[in-house]
Amino acid sequence: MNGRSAFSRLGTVAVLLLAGCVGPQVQPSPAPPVPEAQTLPPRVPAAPRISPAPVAPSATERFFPDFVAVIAKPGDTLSSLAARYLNDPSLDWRIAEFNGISVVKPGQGVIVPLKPLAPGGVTPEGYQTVPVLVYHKFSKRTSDRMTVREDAFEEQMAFLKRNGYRVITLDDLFAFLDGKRPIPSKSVVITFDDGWRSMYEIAYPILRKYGYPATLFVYTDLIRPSASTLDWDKIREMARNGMDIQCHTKTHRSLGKIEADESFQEYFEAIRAELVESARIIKRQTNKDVKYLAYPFGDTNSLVIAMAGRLGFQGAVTVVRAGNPFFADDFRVGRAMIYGNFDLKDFQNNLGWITDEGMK
Amino acid sequence: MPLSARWTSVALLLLLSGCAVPATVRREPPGSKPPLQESPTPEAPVVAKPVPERPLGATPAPPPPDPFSSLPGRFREKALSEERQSDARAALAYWRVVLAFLPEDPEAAGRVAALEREIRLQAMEHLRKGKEQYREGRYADARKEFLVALAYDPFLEEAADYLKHELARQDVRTYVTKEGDTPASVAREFYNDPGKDFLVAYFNGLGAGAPLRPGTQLTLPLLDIPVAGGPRVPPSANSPVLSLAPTPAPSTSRGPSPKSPLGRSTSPDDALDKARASLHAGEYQKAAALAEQALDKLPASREAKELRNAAYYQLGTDYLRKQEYPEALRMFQKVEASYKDQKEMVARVESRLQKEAESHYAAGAKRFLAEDLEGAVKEWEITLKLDPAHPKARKDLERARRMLEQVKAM
Repeated sequence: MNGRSAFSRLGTVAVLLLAGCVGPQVQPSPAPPVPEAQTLPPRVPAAPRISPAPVAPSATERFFPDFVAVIAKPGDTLSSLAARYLNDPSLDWRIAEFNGISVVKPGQGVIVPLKPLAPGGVTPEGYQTVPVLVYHKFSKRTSDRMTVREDAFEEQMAFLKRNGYRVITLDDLFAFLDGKRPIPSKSVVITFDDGWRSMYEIAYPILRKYGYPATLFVYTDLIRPSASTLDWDKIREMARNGMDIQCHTKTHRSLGKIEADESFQEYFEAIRAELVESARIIKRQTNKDVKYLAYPFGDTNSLVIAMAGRLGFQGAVTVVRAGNPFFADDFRVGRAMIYGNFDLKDFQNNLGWITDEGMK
Repeated sequence: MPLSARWTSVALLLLLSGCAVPATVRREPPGSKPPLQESPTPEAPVVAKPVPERPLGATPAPPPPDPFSSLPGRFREKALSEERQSDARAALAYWRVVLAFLPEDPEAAGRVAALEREIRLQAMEHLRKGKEQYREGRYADARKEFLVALAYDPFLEEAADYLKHELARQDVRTYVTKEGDTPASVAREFYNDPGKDFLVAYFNGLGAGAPLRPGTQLTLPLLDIPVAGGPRVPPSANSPVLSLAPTPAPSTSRGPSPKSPLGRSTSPDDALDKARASLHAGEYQKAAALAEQALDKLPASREAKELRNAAYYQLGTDYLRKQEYPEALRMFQKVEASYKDQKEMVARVESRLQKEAESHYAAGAKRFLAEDLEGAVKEWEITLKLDPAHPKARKDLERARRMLEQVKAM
């Protein structure tokens, strides 16, 4: 795919940066070790998923350079065709979108495109944006600005399903932002901040019911024995079942501002500690690498972003209510806070997936 | 999958799928007879093998219906529909399906060739325009052109790179060291504070106090950090903290406008952030107003001044393009003389204004001579609007008005 090479090159540069290969290029003496830079694993470009398995041609399939034509057999689905010809069942949407179908019937002729039509999601109609939703607390019966009621959350998840939205992972989103992985139209990402117990008790079972992936950004000081907060056992249980656990700092201080009684050097050390320590704790508790950061209160600045990059974070999310096109800043990914007083219309208003803003 | 294995799979697939042959060569369905050999091998039997006899009067079995026969028609319809909707890229993909099945189809062959040509030309033209506008600092216009280029050709790497990187907000700057530089001297020059040498060392993996070889490229984060609950840390006069090419992620047109869900009050920081976002969304009037607002509170802020300059400069350029010269001049005059080619732009607009004014003055004189006093008044009013210092228009206008009043009084 031609469009990949530029982004792949960028991925390589990112790897070099993280590996410390770029920087003082003419530095004569070996640079002293920078332990923080090793806190996170080096960024590895996502393995290409499109490597069609060799399939012997038959009367019900014909191979062409850019696509395979298939006559669907009984039992075939879009996912099974994607698995057979694209080596990835989750690419079913590509077949659906190219053929303008939502299901495949036996005997139906279907084209399986071997490469995406618009990897960055830009079409004459507009360009694709990916909404990232963020929730905090939940309750069975009451709601406030930061607390969403169980029935409202269930209704919102059902709305996504009913209206053809595809819940993708944060990894999928960042691969899309790096030009490495096209994603389906109407993609959406679900995230949770902080680490409240109600997220486990109310939202998590509903996510499992719908089979939706999600990311939990924990601030590690919150994870302590308490009736209202998560503990590491529950976090590990969710992680085993596919919940992505990422960093929301250690104490939830604003990274973007210097405290009034803080010197610049104290500020610098404090934000470094916030990132390094929380990433270490999450890695130790879940045995999974941390790649992404959610800025507390959404606050950030150029120094924080440079530091996060230096420490090996691959991206970060804010609370700027904006969808994310492929050219969004990896360290300023927008997220929409879903408030407890939102009705379904308010929720829907945060699901914009295509825009022609600035294009027409 | 190891690389070698992946290549083996791809090669195997190519073999099986016949990718090595041109797409226009239709592949025979499996089970059809093999191609004739042009030269028989020496081992070829002299006597032909007996062929089973077909019973007299029996007709050959009809070939089984082609299960793919409906696909070309279906995709022809889709291609035509996309062409009607001006989506050349999607139309091309569908025409290619038709052509793969019907390589002799003249319509499909013609449309594929025409669309390929159109897409190539349009994509390159929009890319060229985008690059030109980028060089002129017209970032919103450039972004639009790059997007349109990608809509034609989604694989156009250069347009994608401009959108993703060149138009992106910069959080770090590079600094190339000179003879005798140390982390402290770089910190003094870049941050106006030698005590920030630890930043230089940290972001470049250097030891404190280590000498730097001249020509070393250092990465230095920009510092523009507000104090919690207090005023913004004022950047020093020579501190290059300005980042003038941000492209914040655009809001979606189908969702609410971006706003801070935290409900922060409008601080100078907020005003600057919003000004920056507005500037790069092409909302120059709004950007100018927000930059003015920030300057009220931070009169020494270099970033606010730069944003204000950029916003008024863009407004001036827009008015100039629309040939609204008085407004264009007003906008360019708000830009500091040291910003870009402000002086040249002011001179250019003034020159245009004088030409326009002269043209209206002449038109007024013509009407005056034709005894069309009202027409003359109107023309000379326009003349003065365009050039309030016009040497003759004011006096002639006053005279024409007096005469007009006398005529009306008669």
